[in-house]
Amino acid sequence: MNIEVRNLSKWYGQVIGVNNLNFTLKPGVTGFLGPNGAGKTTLLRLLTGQLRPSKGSLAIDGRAVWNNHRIMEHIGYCPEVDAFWNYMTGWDFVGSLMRMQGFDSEEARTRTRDAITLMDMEEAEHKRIGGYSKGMRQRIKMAQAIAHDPDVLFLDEPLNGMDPLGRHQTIELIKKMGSEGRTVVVSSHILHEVEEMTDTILLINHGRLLAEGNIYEIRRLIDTHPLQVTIRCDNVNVLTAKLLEFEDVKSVEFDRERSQLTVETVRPDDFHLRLPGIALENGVKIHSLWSPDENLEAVFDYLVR
Amino acid sequence: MGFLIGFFLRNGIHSRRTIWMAILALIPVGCSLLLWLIHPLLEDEGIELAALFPQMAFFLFLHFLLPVMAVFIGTAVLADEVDDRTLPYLLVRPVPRWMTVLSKTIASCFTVGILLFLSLILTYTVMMLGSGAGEWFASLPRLLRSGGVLFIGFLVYVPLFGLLGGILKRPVLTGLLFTFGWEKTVAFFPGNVKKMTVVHYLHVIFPKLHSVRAQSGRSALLELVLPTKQISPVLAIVILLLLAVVFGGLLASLLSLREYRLEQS
Repeated sequence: MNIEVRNLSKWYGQVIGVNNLNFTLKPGVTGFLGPNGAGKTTLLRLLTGQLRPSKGSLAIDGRAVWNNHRIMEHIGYCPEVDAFWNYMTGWDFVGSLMRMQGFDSEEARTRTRDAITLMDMEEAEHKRIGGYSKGMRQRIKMAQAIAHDPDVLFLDEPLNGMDPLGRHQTIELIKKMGSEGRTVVVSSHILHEVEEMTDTILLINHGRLLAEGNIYEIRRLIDTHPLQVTIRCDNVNVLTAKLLEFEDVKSVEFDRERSQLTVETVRPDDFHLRLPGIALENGVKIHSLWSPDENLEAVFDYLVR
Repeated sequence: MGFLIGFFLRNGIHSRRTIWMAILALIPVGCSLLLWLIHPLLEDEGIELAALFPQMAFFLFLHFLLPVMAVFIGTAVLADEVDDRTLPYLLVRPVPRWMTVLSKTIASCFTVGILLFLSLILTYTVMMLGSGAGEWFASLPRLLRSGGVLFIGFLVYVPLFGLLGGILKRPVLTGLLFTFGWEKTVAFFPGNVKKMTVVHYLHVIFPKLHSVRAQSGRSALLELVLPTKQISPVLAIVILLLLAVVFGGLLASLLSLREYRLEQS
């Protein structure tokens, strides 16, 4: 199912939650990235029909979301807040919500069983949620979001508090759901988490959409931002001196102990074409070369600066 | 809807608000225990403890606890879910919001209705200590009827105060002003203006607990305040249920369109 967002704004009095957003989400996993308070949770609450847009529109599969309970059959939502009916057991929690999803008691039981098994919560299913660890609470929250097999899944900081194994399992599950044709939206402020799930991202800050698309497409949008390239070689001094002769090279930082230098260039394509020649001419052996800028963290840092 | 009502009833048992309501409902039990402790003094004055029950039921339950509990419950429909931040689990379900609001309202009425009815039974039991089990059992049908009246009262008052909560900024204050201003004053006016109060119709159907009154003969106060030219109890029930439907419908419509802005963690 596609999600269409057009000119979407939400404000609370004078405070802007999200501002004039436009994007389309297609089946697969999409990451909403932004620091805390960027507007990700507000956007997810709008997308799940909990909030009414102040301006603009949003639709899932062509249908408006606000006050449209029918569309909720297709939506799964894992909220960010660590809130539960703590007296309930995990089983009661998922089972009750499945009954509200419209399933009869038998079907609700089957779906609860499947979701709890998928989230590896069988051992704790009859314990009170109030006694769960943070990771277990996240898992049972995920279980209620996926138990009805939704076409669209919204996950707000789903890996919060999970142990490494739980994180790995959840990331794999999210990727699997995306590959099965579901539209999965994952919100996070931790970049490497999202990076592990998808390379399709929306960068959000101060309620605005900073960039949208593949990490490499986003990188190309930042044409004024110097690209950093780190080179490990056998002669740091010579390579540094030679590279500084070119106008597009804005700076070079070198680390003799590790035999590496980090170059900032405003014309990355030219730089990459030129580098092998410089190395050959000066007898410098390059061991490795990589661009830390192609990591989400670097793009994100630059865009939100 | 049945499942939702059951769900909210179960949640209500674990709600802090219910604990406060239970404490409030224990006030008459405490009063009756106090009266029981000092009953030798009362008897010296020629006052039978059991004879005080009708007045207590009428003023403390019908005129005080019923509207006060309804104010606190009605002005905070879905407040538990907002405070505990569990509301998103309910809103992101294929259930119309009006149904969620109505189910919660009905469940709240049941919860406080049961609390108040238990309090009524306990109060009566304490005040009938020494009068024998026969009198207690003889009054049971009327006590049950009283419980029914209190429940109907909640069905009208809770959505009414819920509406105030949905419209006004200080609904509790307005609700209390309405209860102790309009309802308590106008209900005792002569003429037809009293028909503009909810409590007038509750007066009509509230049982007189004749067995106790006949025994004591001390019901002058009640005779004074109860309506003499009554409308029929059936008509009173119909009017009350109509009011409950109208207020409930308006409340559900109003809260269906409301946004709930939960704090983020």
